[in-house]
Amino acid sequence: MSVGLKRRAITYFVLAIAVTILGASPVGENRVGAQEPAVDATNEKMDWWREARFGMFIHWGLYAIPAGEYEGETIKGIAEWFMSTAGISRSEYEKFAPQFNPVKFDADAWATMAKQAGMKYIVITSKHHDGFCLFDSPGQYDIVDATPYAQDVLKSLRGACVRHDIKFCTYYSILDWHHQSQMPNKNKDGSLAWNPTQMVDGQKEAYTDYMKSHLKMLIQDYQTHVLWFDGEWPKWWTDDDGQKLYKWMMKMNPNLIVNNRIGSGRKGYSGFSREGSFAGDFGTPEQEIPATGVATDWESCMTMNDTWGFKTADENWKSTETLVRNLIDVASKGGNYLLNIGPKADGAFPEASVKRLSEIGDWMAVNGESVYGTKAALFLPEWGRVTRKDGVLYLHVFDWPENGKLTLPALSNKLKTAALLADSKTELKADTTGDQWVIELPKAAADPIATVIKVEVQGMPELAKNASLNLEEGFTPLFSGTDLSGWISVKEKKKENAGRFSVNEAEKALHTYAGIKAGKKQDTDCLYTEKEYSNYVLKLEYKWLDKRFAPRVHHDRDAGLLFHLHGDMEGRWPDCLEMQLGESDTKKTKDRYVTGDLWVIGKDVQVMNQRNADNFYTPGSELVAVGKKEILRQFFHCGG
Amino acid sequence: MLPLAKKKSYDSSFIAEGNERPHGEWNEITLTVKGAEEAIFELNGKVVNRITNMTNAVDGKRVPLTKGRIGLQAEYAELMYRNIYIKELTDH
Repeated sequence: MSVGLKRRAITYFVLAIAVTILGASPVGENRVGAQEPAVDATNEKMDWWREARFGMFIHWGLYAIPAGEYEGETIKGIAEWFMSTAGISRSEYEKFAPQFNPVKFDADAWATMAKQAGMKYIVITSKHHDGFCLFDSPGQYDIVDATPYAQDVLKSLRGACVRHDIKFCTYYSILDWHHQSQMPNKNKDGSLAWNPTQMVDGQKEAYTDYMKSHLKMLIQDYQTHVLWFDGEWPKWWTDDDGQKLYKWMMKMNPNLIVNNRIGSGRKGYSGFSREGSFAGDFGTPEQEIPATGVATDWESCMTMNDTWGFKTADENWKSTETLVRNLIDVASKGGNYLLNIGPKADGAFPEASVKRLSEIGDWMAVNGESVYGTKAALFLPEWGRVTRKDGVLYLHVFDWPENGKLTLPALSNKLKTAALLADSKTELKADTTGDQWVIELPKAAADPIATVIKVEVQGMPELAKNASLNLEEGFTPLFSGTDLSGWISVKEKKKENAGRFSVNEAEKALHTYAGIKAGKKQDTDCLYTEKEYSNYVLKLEYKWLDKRFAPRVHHDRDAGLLFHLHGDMEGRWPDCLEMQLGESDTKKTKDRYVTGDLWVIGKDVQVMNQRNADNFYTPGSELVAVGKKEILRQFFHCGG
Repeated sequence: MLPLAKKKSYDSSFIAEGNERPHGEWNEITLTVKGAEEAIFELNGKVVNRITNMTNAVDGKRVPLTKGRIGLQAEYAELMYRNIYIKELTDH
């Protein structure tokens, strides 16, 4: 994998947001080549992948020989970056090839371990950044031609995958530290800086042809189901290159699934923009899981310890509980979980990985149906996670309630039965009369990792309307929960690259700054109704998520409910009155934001308020004018 | 004209203490607006602020500010808004 983690995670999320926003249009519409009939099957071709939910990533190559050790010291970081981290030359690195003799490699054993863990596909590094191929490539720098092993491991693994009903998929790095078209820079100490490579003038076409010769083999001879690109970040590789390559591959196999790292990532993040142009079929968050559901295809790839390629010194293994709960968390948000194995140089999986795969398999053998083919949850409860499919809601309980009562927001569906998935005979009592459904649980959790309650209902589970607001008659929705109809974004209207509202379909919520990396510099946005209102009662709910953005990373969390917006609607904040939404964790008096504060915005607006000498609303205090004065004395340096 | 008038101006009335739920939990807001007369802010069932006599200055004269659009802010913090419902009052 890469050192460009931050940049790439953002790339993914930008994609995710783009698709979320474009969600009303057919899935394939904003895909490369969507005009061509062959790619209209985009949606259908994803069926098996969406059903699968759980796959195995394998990072294996020459880097497994040093395994993160160089000249008696442990190198920093991830082991598959050895050539770059050690800063060594091609000829130095090539010396590992004659040592690569994985006599313990057993393709059937690998496929079997994946299958028993409940995984449905395997993605293996056909060529990582180091340029070394695990298949019999047309060149010489591969496992067949350059090692004493002299056997094609991809061919063997593909055969085993077919035998064990696992989808065979391949990773491929665009960045190539070995190909003569690309040159390193030099570090200050004289060592080689391989990331990113510099393309030699006039060599790009030849290198693209070289990649195509590999990709053609992977698609036609190895019949890979997914091409999982990486190393797309050097400047010499453009989004246009990615789109062309995508089209070229689709001609060979329109059912091929390709990740979003084939292009250079979406350029010019623009929130609500409909100009979405990117290549690839799914997003690729790396070492992280989105905070909430994302309404597009995505796959979180994660390691069991801290490295992708095998690293002797890395013993920082995650617990099986964490791994299983990650899988559930990912499924509950509508994504796939690609869990990595870094086999040793001899071809064996690390023992810690084998143990965890086996334990995950134990859980999946009982509870797998709550993961496969499920859709994103409707809500994220405190006690665990939820998945659903037609006729069933699966409640994954992580924290067993002490009072034995599990609560969830009421569904609009009629309840049929509730029972432990592990024991369908244990039917559970459920009270579905109120705004919340209450399920009575046995005294103790059946499974310490996650006990699954299977709730069978009529039809696709959906939340009851107003389940959590308990509204009286006469209210109508201002926000549909599925799109932004009826609303206008100041920033989008001005065609500025900064619309920061999107729809989170899983939570039926408006989401600010979805998918932006915490701390990144951002701008504000104001989302306002198309219509004006005069006399009304407005109800809404809000909740804070964790991320804050520059320049307000260390401020109280800040947002606001605005009303009586009028006049020029183009400014940052049009003239209006604001009920502050704020989370004051600092107890400061300056730049403090507390929900309920009043802000009067605009030089001509004025209201009366019972306010004390310190500007605090205090019933019984003198009624004073807030806002426009005879002479404007008060200017706050920032708005509400 | 005052030179400062070109800039956006802000004025505020703080509230002594909030009624927010713990971080990450949904909070319920009710905002009742009666034209230019009155606006009441409620958070999780508690009235936290109240204003009256909403006005705007037009050609140097103060006129009632009776209506306008409703808006939401995104201001450097990640959050979600949901269940946004309105009931228009006719018997005002």
